[in-house]
Amino acid sequence: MDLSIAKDRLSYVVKPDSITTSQGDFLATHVAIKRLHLLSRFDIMPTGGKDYSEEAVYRKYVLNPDNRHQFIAVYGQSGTGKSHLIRWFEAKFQYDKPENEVVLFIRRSDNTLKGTIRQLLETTEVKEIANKEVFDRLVRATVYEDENKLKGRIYHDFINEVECDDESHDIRLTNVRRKRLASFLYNEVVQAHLMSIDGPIERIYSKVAENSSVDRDTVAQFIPEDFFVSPDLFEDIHRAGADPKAEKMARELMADESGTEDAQKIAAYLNQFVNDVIQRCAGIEPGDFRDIFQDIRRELYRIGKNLTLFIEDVTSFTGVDDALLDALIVEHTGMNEGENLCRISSIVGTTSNYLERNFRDNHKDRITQYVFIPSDAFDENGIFEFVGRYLNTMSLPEDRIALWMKNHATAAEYPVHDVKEGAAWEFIPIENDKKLCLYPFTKNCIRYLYKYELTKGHQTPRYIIRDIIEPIVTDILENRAQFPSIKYNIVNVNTTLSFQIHNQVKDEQQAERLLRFLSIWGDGSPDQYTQDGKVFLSSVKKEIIEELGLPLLSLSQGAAPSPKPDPDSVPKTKPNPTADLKPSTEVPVQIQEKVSKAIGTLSNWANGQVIDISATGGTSGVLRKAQEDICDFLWSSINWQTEGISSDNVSKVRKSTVRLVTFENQTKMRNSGFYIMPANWESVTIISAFIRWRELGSQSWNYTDSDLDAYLITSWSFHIQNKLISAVNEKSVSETSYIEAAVAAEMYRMILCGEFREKSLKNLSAQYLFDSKTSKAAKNYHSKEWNALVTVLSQKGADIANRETVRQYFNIPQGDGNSIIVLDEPSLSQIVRRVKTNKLTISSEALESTDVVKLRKDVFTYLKEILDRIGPVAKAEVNNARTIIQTVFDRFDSDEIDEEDILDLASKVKEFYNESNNAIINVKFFAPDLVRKNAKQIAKAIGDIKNILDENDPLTILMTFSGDPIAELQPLLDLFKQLENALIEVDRQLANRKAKLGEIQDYATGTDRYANEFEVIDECIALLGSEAQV
Amino acid sequence: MFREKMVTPAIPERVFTLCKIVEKRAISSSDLKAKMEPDYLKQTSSYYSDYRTAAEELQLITVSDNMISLAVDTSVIKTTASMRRYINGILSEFQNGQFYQVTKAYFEMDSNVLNGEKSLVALAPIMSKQLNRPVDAMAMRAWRFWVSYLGFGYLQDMFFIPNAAKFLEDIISMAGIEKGHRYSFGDFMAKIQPYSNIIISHDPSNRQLNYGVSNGLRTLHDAGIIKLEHILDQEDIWNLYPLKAHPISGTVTNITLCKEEV
Repeated sequence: MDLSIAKDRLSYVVKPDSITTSQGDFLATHVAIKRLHLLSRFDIMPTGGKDYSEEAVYRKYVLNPDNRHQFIAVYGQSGTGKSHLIRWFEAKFQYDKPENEVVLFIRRSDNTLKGTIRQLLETTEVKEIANKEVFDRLVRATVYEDENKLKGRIYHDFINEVECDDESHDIRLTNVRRKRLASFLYNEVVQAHLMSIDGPIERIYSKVAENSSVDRDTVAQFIPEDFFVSPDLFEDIHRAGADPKAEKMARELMADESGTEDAQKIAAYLNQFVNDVIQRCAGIEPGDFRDIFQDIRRELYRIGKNLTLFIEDVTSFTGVDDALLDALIVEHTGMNEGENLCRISSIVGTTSNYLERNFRDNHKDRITQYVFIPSDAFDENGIFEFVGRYLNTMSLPEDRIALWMKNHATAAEYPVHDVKEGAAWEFIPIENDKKLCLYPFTKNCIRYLYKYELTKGHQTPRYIIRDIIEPIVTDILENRAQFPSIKYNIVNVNTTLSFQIHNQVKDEQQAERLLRFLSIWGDGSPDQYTQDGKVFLSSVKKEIIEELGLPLLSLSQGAAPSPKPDPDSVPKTKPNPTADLKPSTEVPVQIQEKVSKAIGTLSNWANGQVIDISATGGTSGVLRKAQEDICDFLWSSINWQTEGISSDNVSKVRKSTVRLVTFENQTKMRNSGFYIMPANWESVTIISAFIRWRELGSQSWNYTDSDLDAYLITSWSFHIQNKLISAVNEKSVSETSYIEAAVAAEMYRMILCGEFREKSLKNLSAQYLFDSKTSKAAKNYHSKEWNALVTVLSQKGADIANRETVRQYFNIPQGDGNSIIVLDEPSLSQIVRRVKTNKLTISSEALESTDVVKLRKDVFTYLKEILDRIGPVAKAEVNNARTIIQTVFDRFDSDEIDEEDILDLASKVKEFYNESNNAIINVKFFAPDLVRKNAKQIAKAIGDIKNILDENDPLTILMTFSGDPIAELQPLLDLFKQLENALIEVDRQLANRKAKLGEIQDYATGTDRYANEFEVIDECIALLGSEAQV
Repeated sequence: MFREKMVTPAIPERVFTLCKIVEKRAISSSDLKAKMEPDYLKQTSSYYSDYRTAAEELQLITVSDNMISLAVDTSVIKTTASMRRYINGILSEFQNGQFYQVTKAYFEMDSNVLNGEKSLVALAPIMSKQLNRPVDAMAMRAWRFWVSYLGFGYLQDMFFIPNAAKFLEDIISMAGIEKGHRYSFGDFMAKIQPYSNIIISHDPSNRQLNYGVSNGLRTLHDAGIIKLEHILDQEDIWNLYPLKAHPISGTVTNITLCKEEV
């Protein structure tokens, strides 16, 4: 290659459409097609059959040795080289044509109707036609019209066609549906939708107006998708206040199944009007083109000449193609003999789809010969030659090409450039013992890119130029120091090669560059060999690697490939390109590509880009799964229990939203993982290994080179294990383990729920932790604050969860665990001891846990809830007790109350009732037996309460009240209450009796009622007084 | 567990805990059971005898007059790692046991294990056939706990990837290998031979190291714990499982225990 020339010539030579290159460049880049198929009937995708060379087709048909009327359709998929072939036919025909043959070549130009008309107007034959009226119309048709105006005219013309449909077309709509469709099309939202950049009006417009930018193979038609109404679109239509008929149609089109059918029908219905609309908008009559060609043929007949017409692409005549075909199929003999038409030989190019859909059957029947160009028209060597010729042409100065052209562009004199760059690279032999340098390509590279970079249906010359030649040459021109800088996916990357490169090349970008080069330009093998004194690495000459400034590498010695074909000879047998390009492994190409895309993303990540694994599909999904697989592997491969991480901790971490492993520069994640894989090559190899395990091995190691992957991940696990264990260990967050908090909280719960009622923690053994129940507390005499805390403890099952934490933390399960608990007794004892020593509290720092593992943090939160409330609870409890105990003290008129006092009280109470009974005072009897019976407990409760009244330590207070001493006092309190009532009753009854005795003053003033008694008493008193004096 | 059939309840952590309980003083078997599986748990079955037997087989404890006492120096059970080293040092005493034989057979399968059954459980009938003794699914489940703990490789769910790095590290530390001294590979193998038969064939005609052992050596090399070399003029050539990508891709002649991790 000569880069200094190519730099200027690249843009001229590398044009995907043959129509835009110069004739010289066109011929210099032409590679003979040897796989043409000839058919007498149309077949959209013919298989089998004999291959014909372009030369054979040219001689037998294009040259028309029998001077017959003929209509040859050259068809194939988009980009297969139809235009190229027709142009080549035309160029060759210009040299070989008979003297009386007139050649009319309608090039595709910009592939629009106006462009084509303009082209026609410039031909001598049209300029001389007698029909001035038609000529003038054609001139007017080429007049520029404002884009929006023309598009609007096209759109409204379709509405007009719908409204005025006289039902003369094959596809019909009912009157109602036509009205709905017209309303639908009138709707502003619909109009904007259909006139959008990828809508049907744009497509149709682009085939009419010149200078519109559109894919050349766009077909000016409606497609069903144009009428798919999404819920969003419907909403817009509805919101804009659509006509009911339009809305109804929109609703029909939105339906899942019937909507699709309706859309297909409407597209087909409207397509019937495309030709009429285009003609009307272009200002020409349907018969104009037929008339022009009839006139040309008559004129040529008159002067004794025949016509050979080459049309690169019939879609250039969009809108009038039907009329054009009508003109071309008319023979000059038979019933038309009187028309005085010259013989016409038409070679017309079209895509397979256009031919199938737009040619009427009667046109297809009148086509005398079909020439099919398959997508793989070139064999492998043909593709190499194709690339070589382009590289050669762009390395040649224009004048050398011009000189060759001047000398009839013969193969023998085909100019080959002087190789300035790439002398050590591969060459491709062509006829006449010439060789073309493939620099900056290798055959491997062309094979690879053809297979993996060109999608199905794009493996055609056009895309070889656009997607392979141009970018690679541009890359070497602009980025030689980084060549190859285009980050193609490396499909089926050789893990060993990748590992060796990254082991030896520490610069990540250079390593990636070398891997890319050896995998795509080379054969991707991890071997080197020496052949003819030259060292090859991955089948690439070492000097090429050096020439590009790529890092040098030492690979394992391998055997040189078995006998290579003589590089200077043209292979006698052409290999089947598809056979050569088949995958090297049994893994489906889609899977390989999926893997390579993911690894490509990882490579970019290692080079500083962010990585997003938030989606579940696509490459993101592959990477997401890989991360999950890595986590799963580490969870199962590390012996967490033996490393001092309890199974309860493992379980809590696994249930958390924080992953064991995340990636550096990972986006869209809530928390970083416990271990962040750095964005470097080592991480790429590990993640890639897990991708291959899942994708290539279907979640097994059963795939090629898995031995390396399995080694890598286990070696990596060995390497990072300690970091992971430290990170997962709860002690990494706080010196205080969550289990201390859990045990403390459980102990508090037991105290508050009265499950542990002692005033000292001394006897609070581990057994309590495993014995305790979390049943609801029964009726009690605690303060409302106390009961509120008890309620809080069991909210949302928090008590059960905490208790389970305590039970499971000390369990030593096997595998995934089962119901049998085997205790880690030393650890359990140690923690219980520590918690008790710390009086059920932990440091305030630990309480304010910042643990990202929610279930561990929840434990601290749970304890904090308790600790935050126990102060007020204790205070409330004391205040409550103080009031009650004061009553007791008041009753006894003492605060020194012992069991004897209580028993004495019980006795006196009994006496009271007896006296009442004797005095015949009727009060309800309340036996003090319960008080007597519980005198000891009551006395103890009174003593406990009395002693706690001045206590400040909440835990001591809680433990005092854990046994609910107020409840112990209840018999006494009840007794007081009954006595109180009884006394009231006694007073009441005595008062009644007194009342019945009358007023006290009556006794003083005397009445007759007790006069005698008073006399007797007075006598007795006097008698007693006299006896006393004696 | 080690002398006869493998049982799942006898996991390393339970054996270790049991040893820690008897570390300070001898204790009756019933008291020991009461500590690990106390009655107040009200469980219907017990695993106690399984892990106690495993501890006894491994000579970590002795049972006399129903009193259980620690049979090793307390340093052995200082950590689970020290207990692992101890056990790895006496594994050769269990050549007739299921654990030893299954481990040996698994390593002899070389990298074929990668292409075989995905689950160890499914490997039971294959092992039975190969060892000519019954090996059931439960035995394979039990095997995985110990083979992973003892550092023979890594569990991936119910699959086991052989990589004996930890095991090799342990036996190297016991074999009297001098740090910084470059040993010929044959000499090195002779030194570790008393401990390594379980995974390395010491047939002098066979200088081939299987996949799991090669993985272990390469891992230790990559971690800077040992240095593997192929010195061209040396004749004591051993073959690691070939991994082209690794700097030590195949043959090796010398090994050095590094003074410090590099």
